Amino acid sequence: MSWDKGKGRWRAGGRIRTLLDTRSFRQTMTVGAVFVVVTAAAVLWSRTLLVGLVKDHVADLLARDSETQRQMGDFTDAPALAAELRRRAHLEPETARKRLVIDGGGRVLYGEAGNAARLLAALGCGPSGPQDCGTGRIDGRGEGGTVQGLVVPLADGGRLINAYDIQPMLNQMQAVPLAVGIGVVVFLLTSVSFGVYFSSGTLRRVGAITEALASYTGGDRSRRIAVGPADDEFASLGREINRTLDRVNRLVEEVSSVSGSIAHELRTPLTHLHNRLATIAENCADDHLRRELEEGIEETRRIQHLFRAIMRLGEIETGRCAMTMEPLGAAPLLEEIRESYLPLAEEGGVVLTVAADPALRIRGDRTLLFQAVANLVDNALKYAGGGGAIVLTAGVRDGWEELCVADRGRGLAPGQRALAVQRFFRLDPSGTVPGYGLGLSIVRAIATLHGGALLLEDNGPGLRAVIRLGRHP
Amino acid sequence: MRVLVVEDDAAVSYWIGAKLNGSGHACRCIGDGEAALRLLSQEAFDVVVLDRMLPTLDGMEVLKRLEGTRHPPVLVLSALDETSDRVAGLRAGADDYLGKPFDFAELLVRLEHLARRHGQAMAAPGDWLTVGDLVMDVAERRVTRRGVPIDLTDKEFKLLHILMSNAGQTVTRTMLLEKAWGYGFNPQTNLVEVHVFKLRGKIDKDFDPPLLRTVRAIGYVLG
Repeated sequence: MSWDKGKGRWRAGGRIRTLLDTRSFRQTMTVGAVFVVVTAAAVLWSRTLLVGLVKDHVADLLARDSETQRQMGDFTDAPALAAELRRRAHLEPETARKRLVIDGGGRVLYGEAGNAARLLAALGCGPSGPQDCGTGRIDGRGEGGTVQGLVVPLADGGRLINAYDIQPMLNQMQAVPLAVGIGVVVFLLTSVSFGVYFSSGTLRRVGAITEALASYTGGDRSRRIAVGPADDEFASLGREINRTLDRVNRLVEEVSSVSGSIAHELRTPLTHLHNRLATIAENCADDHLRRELEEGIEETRRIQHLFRAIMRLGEIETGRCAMTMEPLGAAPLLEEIRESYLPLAEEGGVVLTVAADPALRIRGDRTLLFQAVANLVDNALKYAGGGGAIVLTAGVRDGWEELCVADRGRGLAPGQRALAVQRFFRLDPSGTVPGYGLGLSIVRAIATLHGGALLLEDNGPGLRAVIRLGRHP
Repeated sequence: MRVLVVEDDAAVSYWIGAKLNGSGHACRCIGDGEAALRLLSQEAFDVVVLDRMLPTLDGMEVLKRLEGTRHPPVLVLSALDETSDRVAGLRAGADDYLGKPFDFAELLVRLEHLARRHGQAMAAPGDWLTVGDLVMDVAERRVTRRGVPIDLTDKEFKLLHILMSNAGQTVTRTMLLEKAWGYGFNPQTNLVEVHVFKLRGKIDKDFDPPLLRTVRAIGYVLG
């Protein structure tokens, strides 16, 4: 799941990817991977140790066996030894142990002739007989399994081959890595499940916090994080964020009431001044003086206007303004603005046109967007007028909904663009162009309130002012 | 016109009172909300001017108490002049909202409109409006003067509709702006003047006598 800012909700598309990206999942997986590597190494090592142990043990057994037989005088000649072994056969049944007595001519005197060939082949003895095997300890692998044996030379040139089939023992040992392997797989699956469980839990809680914060920044000042019954780190984080939001709300209220009081305190004397001037002007017989007084009245009106613009900016910047986000047709909005400014444009000889897809619907507050685009058109008329052209467009660029006012005037130098959105910045400091230098600040505040930004781009020549709104669904 | 002014600022209250009386209206001024409610239940008024910040009971609370009762239209006059304040005031039941500082002429025009609308009460505006030989078919969105059709843009039609609905009465520029563009729109230029200028060109230029008059520094009157 990933947070979709434009839509203000979680998107299910990247769910697994986001899950894999969580810290807790990665931690679990790292521990799991290390565990698997260590276990695999330990299993391999212990298997080698065990096999070595078994082989040493069998070799020891065979050596002791041969020594006993030697002491008992069995190694004098091959036929006697074969006879002796046959006599004892019922005492020591041949199971894992394989014994062969071969005379100097290579004939098998003791041991199953069929098995003998296989055993010799397994021990790596050549077809001509056991002479090729040499003496001492021999290991071999063949179709009969793994055998380990000892070739003992007899006094008459014959040989005794004393061997053990160690395959069953090795087979038993195979179970050890298998059992460990199954254990590791079970452990891995369990740790993945735990990882997924805890990660999705983490994701859910982080998602709830993100959503609540986004909703708060979007203007819902009453939004808080649901802490839940569990008293864990998320609960304490949630409580702390809620406390912070409470404090922010208190501060905003304080600022708001202070600015309200300032407004009241300043407006009351302004009202008195205005009223006095109006009364004097009414009763003034001197035309010249009356005109001066009327200028004064006009000045108080301008102050009031400026005041309203500052208050409005504050209102929008803090998100205190009444705002209704709704889907609305971009083209009708731009058409209404065009119609509103057409007389002014015609007066200045400017061609004002709209280029917007009639089907395009954007999300925003109609009144605020109207104000924002109107301010941009106003600026374009003021600074890029004189027979130029202004185009109002709406569209989706890189997934963002945008409203744009492009003119063909002298534009803004790159260095001026950052300054232009600052409060009270005037492109024309001489004061011959009317305005307070708040127009672009208000546009920027409105764009920000919509989750977007105000972009000032080069229109080559002229300025392209883009109000970027939210993500297009 | 009998006006009740509820305002705790004595200077403003006195000034409004003097001006209203000077213009031939009867005016009672009072300084707090409780007393205003008492007075409204005892005496008949055509219109009320209500300040928002009042001792004992503030303006919004007064509006709340008035809700559901028969009462004259209320114009809220307040220094709290943010768009959200205006919306809150109008939602609370105010019939009009004017921010301080204000022109007395603007206040008077608004009060007259409120009182007249209150007097007419249910007199439906109807589908046709007529001022002299200027005729507006509201439903069909058609305007003719002396039978000659006049082509108007949407905004011009809206402005003319407001002016014709209040024929003979001054409509201030702010009122036109609020009604044609809505509260919350604050143009940086004289949009209203420019549109009225265009409108005048269409309805008066080729006809006699001119119907649309400018009331200096206040607004316009039709007829």
